[in-house]
Amino acid sequence: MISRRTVLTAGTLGAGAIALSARAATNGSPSHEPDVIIVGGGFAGLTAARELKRLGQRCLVLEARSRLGGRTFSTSVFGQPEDVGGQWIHWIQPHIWSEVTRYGISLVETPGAATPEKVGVLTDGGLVTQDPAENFAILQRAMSALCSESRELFPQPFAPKLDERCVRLDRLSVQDRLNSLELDPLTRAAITAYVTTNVNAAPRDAGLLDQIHWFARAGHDMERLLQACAQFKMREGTVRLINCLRDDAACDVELSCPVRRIEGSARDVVAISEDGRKFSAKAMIVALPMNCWTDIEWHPGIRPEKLAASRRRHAGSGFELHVLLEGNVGSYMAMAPLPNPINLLYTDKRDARGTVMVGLGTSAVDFDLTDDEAIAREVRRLMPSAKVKAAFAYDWNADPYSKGTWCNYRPGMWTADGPAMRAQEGRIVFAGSDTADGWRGFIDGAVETGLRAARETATVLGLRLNA
Amino acid sequence: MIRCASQILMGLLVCSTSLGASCDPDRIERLWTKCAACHRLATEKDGASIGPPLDNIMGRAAGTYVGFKYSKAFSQLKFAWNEATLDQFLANPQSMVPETAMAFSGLRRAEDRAELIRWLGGQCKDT
Repeated sequence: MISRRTVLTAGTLGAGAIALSARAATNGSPSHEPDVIIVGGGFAGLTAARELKRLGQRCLVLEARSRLGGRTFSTSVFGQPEDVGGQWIHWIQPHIWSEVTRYGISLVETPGAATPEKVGVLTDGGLVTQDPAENFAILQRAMSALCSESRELFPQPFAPKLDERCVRLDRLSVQDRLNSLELDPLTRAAITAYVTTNVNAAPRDAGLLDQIHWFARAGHDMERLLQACAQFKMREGTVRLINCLRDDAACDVELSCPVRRIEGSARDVVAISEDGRKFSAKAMIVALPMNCWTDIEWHPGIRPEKLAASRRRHAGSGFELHVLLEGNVGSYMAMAPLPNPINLLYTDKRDARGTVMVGLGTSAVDFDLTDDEAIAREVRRLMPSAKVKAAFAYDWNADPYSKGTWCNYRPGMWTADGPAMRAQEGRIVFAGSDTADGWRGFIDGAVETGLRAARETATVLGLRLNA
Repeated sequence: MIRCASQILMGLLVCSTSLGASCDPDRIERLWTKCAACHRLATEKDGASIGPPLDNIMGRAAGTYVGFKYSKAFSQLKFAWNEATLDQFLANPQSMVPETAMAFSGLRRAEDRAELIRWLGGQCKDT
């Protein structure tokens, strides 16, 4: 454990924290009626605001939380700046990589995902330690079998065509496909742990078609997919990009302003906040997690498929655990299938404090994220020599403005509800990573939908896109 | 977390040597880690401000920290924070304040809640 002396003398460790706050937003009344209201101040909403600013439109962002950033934020954990939530990006994700280039954002690598020295797989017979190349090889074979239709169905992953074959496959869960594969115990444990992490749910609750699409996005390459999920982070935190977007958008922002009712007409749209304020504009972008659409009263009503999907919720429901270990434990990755609570654990950073590991698990298991002894027990099952000094987890499922983690569609959801989930409702356009065609559930997907939403909103407003 | 814990320990343990029970600094530090990603102390310039500052919380009417904009659910509360109300809230925030914006499902262990409450209330004596 951290010594008392360290506790009492570590006063400068968090000095950078103030820089982690997203740029202060004015919470007074907007200076004048905006052209576009954007409900939700995550990457999708702010990307749309920036793009609309380029077209001469003034946006007002209404954000329910006391901060911007959506399902990601920069803060301080274990006394050092840290991102919580979605934070990993990769150069095979074109929309976010364009932003990295645009703003000159520097990156850091997550060693346990980029260059693990060892990989552990927890099987029924105990912990098996593998060379990474050996582990990636068995995962590649298993994932190729699990997603055997990926090349055929998704030759262009960013323009998925949901034909009859997709509809049939979409009825299956990831677990259905796992059950049909003949795998040795080690491979079964590894691939089950891995896809459970991807979908952040029990594999029976996640649609197979969505997972096949994941594989296609990464060029049908397992190692690349793993790296796309966890290799690079923004050195100064996701807040750096949030602030860049907000500065360029030059928009008004109302924080702590949950929207409870949206009224649309042929001429304008009105958002009514929880505290009864009314905001009107000529168009609106709703950039909320799909799980939160049902928290709004819609007048007139919106497509029933949107509400049905929102009520059902996407499958992603789990936790991100940060664990501080004593000493330098090297660059390590471990995986464990359900019912183990931690499905993936990997080295995130190593410094004077020790080693920070990130753990991912699902809500399918009742696991007390505030019980340090239970966390230490589970970590030691994956790393027998680990000495846990501290642990932290943010409960995205308890966050009323997330109601879950990253989006993975449930069986049947994508083909049944997906097109309607992306459709406009009069002067209201929908955005957010949950509606992305490409890297759904990633920051890249949020940026993608922000760009799309701005384009669609421009059409609503009768603007020339190249004006 | 380390930084926040240091200030609270300095402020509370040293100033309240005549008060209450001994507290375990390591345990307090581990518990504060779970709060500090969203909360800070009012005396800090740095630190998280997703939720309101938590020092001097005892006796404060719930949902009234000046300068913090609370959810509607919180701003309508009609009680003050004391050992009992804090314990009930920390055990299950959503149960006590439905529609709270706080993304925390609770400290299940009663002894953890008791230690944290003692510490927040300045009831820890230096050990």
